[in-house]
Amino acid sequence: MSAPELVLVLALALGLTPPAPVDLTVHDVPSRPVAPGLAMRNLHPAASGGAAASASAGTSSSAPSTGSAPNAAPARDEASPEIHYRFNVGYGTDNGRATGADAATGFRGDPQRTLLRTYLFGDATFGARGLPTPSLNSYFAAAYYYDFLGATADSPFTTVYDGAGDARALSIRSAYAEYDPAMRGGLPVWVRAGRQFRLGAGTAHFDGASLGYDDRQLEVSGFVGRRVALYVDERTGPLGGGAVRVNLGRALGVPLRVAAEVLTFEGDLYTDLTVQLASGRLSALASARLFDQSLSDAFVKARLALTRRTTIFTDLSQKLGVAPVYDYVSGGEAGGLKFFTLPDLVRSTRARLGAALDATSELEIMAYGAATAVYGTRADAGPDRTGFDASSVELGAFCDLRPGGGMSLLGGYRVRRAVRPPRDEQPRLDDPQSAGDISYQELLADARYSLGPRRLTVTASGFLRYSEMQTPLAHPFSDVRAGLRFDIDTWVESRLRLKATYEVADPSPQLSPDVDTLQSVRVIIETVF
Amino acid sequence: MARPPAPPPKGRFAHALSSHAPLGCPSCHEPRPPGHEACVRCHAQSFEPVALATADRLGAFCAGCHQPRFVRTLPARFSHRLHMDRGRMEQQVGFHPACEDCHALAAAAPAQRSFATHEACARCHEQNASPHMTDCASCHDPAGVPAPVGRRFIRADLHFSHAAHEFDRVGRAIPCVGCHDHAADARTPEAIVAPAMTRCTQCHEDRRQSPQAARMSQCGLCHLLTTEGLAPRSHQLGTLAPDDHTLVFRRDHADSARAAGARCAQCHQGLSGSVRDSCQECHAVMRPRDHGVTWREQDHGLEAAAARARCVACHLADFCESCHSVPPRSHLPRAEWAIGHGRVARLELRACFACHTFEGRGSAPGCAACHARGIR
Repeated sequence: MSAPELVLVLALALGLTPPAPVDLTVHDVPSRPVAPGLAMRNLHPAASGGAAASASAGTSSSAPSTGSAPNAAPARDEASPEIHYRFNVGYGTDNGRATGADAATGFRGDPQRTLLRTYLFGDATFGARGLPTPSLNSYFAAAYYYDFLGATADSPFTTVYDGAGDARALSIRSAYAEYDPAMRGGLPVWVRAGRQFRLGAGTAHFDGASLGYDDRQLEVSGFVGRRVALYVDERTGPLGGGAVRVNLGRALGVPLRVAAEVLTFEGDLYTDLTVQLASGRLSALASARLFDQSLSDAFVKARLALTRRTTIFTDLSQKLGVAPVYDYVSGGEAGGLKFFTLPDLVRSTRARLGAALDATSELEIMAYGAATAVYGTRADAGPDRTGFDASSVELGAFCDLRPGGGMSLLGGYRVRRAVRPPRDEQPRLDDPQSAGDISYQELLADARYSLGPRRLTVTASGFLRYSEMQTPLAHPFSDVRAGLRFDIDTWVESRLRLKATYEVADPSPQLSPDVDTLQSVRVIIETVF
Repeated sequence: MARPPAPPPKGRFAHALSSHAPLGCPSCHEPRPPGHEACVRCHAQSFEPVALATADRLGAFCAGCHQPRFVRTLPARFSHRLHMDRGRMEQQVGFHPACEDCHALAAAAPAQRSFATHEACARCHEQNASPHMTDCASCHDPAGVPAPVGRRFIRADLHFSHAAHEFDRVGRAIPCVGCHDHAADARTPEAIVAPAMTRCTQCHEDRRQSPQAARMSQCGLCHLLTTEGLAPRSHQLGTLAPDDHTLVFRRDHADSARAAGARCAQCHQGLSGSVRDSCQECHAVMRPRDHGVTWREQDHGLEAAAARARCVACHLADFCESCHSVPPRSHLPRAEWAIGHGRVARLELRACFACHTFEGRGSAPGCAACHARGIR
């Protein structure tokens, strides 16, 4: 069965109405006519002959002009296979100054204690296309972290690897081989086996196999495997899923795509339905997520280019039920997480509206406003709401200036105000929804200078964060944090890259009075081929 | 002896001049293109040998045709959008034209594609399509068409071969709309703009589409005079973001990353280059700039509370749990935590509820175990 036939069968299987019959006859462009009264056409016989030859040489309306290029690209068989790898070795050291003051708990820490943390980190990727046989791709990606001193419980520099006890880890993120004959002009069918990510109804990270058909009009794929556990959630049960994406642009004459994706894990079924419209000026997307056939999320976003210089964007998300297990907000009993109890936001609405203006080719300004309303209850046990799910209003503005000469300046400011109930006269622990930030402001700036690609880029950035906090147990208080960061990214030679970062920041004097002047230096040497 | 003038560039004749307009097209355009003989009919004296011999430079009369003017006679009423409407074309003329049917490789310069000539139009408009070729005013505005302003080619320095862009490195055909993406929607000639330089860069910096010798750093590949130096920003990918990586793009880049033909891997190295891996691989190796030295202990909680969806872009739930499974340093020394925890809770009670509930859950004790009757 040929590819077009397969597309047609699948389209019919999906219940799609086949498009109106298309005239598939190969027509010839009318040859140069005898044009009475326009003798000009014969004035330049060479030119007109050439044009006529070109026109009659078969550049028919429905055939690509593949035959007339004098220096056509090499045949596909001559395309060389590719190998690329990246390996980097990073060395980092974090340190802070023990102030000698009491900690937030009131305990006096040791002013001589060591806050130093020093470690190796980096990642390695390897990819090959067309090796060892044409149409075969392979990819490997891994990250590593090695703390020389091991995990330190009282460090302000925590890492995700501390839970492992020794803060040392090698994480293989991807390791797969893929057969994709479409890259050589063959059938648009691909198969992939090994460790891989799959983004769909949820993020699936698994060891298994994927199979798909993928052309411009239709994508059908499925996957099956066992979940990969990189961190403390050790579930490695079987999972599976699939996706169908259909481009209806040709059938409907509207640039519309629809997609359905499913994921099943431990007996639960997650579904994501998406409709996407992408015309020249308007881009819109609507999606719905279902958990065991119950609607849990709805999301709509749109972007419209009003003019060549003005763009408006908006998004609206509505949470209606428990989210899929791979969602950060799942948590609680539903997600089976043992330690992390960030409550489910069962019902909430978040809306955002913004606009961007390309004032000049060097200056872009973007501003937005957002509002979040939380009016639901938690799915799991506990207080009806907590300080994590307050309704809020946020405004922000960013400015990107590119004056040329390799300079780039980015500045931004945003302010958020949370709507929290006032503190009770009698503070109650079971009223945690009044705990948290009342307002939050952030000012950031980023200046970048570059000599060009693969040469030298220097970046300096800074931030200032100011928040007002309240809890049922204390009067509102303010919290200020500030920091600077400097980056150098340079290519020593064409395959060797050196990156260095220095950060310095002061933590919250209220919450971390025992330490200040947190500093971090990271140096990364990267080889790329 | 006077140097014979060069042939006039196309479209610099003052059609709208009051004395020319009433003449009508056929008076000069039969035969076409009109040579000096068409002018001689009225301006014979200007072509006298004496007049030409005494002119040490182009006089005002000559400059009427032989100097650049502001007004061109490009068709004022040509719609690419209409001519690329396949259904409509097939209804009217029995086939739909492709780009190369009108913009053929020029015979005089085979590397170039020509502007559409009257010959191309005549294939249909001489027969059954309207307007007819003799109806000049249907396409040509007698008042001329203002020359487009804005981006313009560096004509003396730039060379470009359409013929060399028929196929990419591995033999895939490069469609015209790959560069001239707005041409098919243009209703007027003025609406057609030259392809942005980022179009060139996207392919020429993609090793899968272009060989090493065709990188943007090879100035001489396109420029005759500018053969070395720093490439302007519009020519760059890599350490500087491309021009289309605007603030809005950064917000909505997921759509582009998932699209067929996404080229994120050109600059964001270490990726497999497959759109099937678009999101996770990138977000696994790139850390947002606000994830600084204070992020882990203090800042992330505020952001997670306000916009959790942003976290989900990179982190799965068990990533979060990995840190939250370890008691924070505020809980140390553990033996004394029971005494001191109240002071921390007063400041940031919300943080307690990231791991604890009021009633208690699993191995994490709750407040109610001790504070069932309230707090002191």
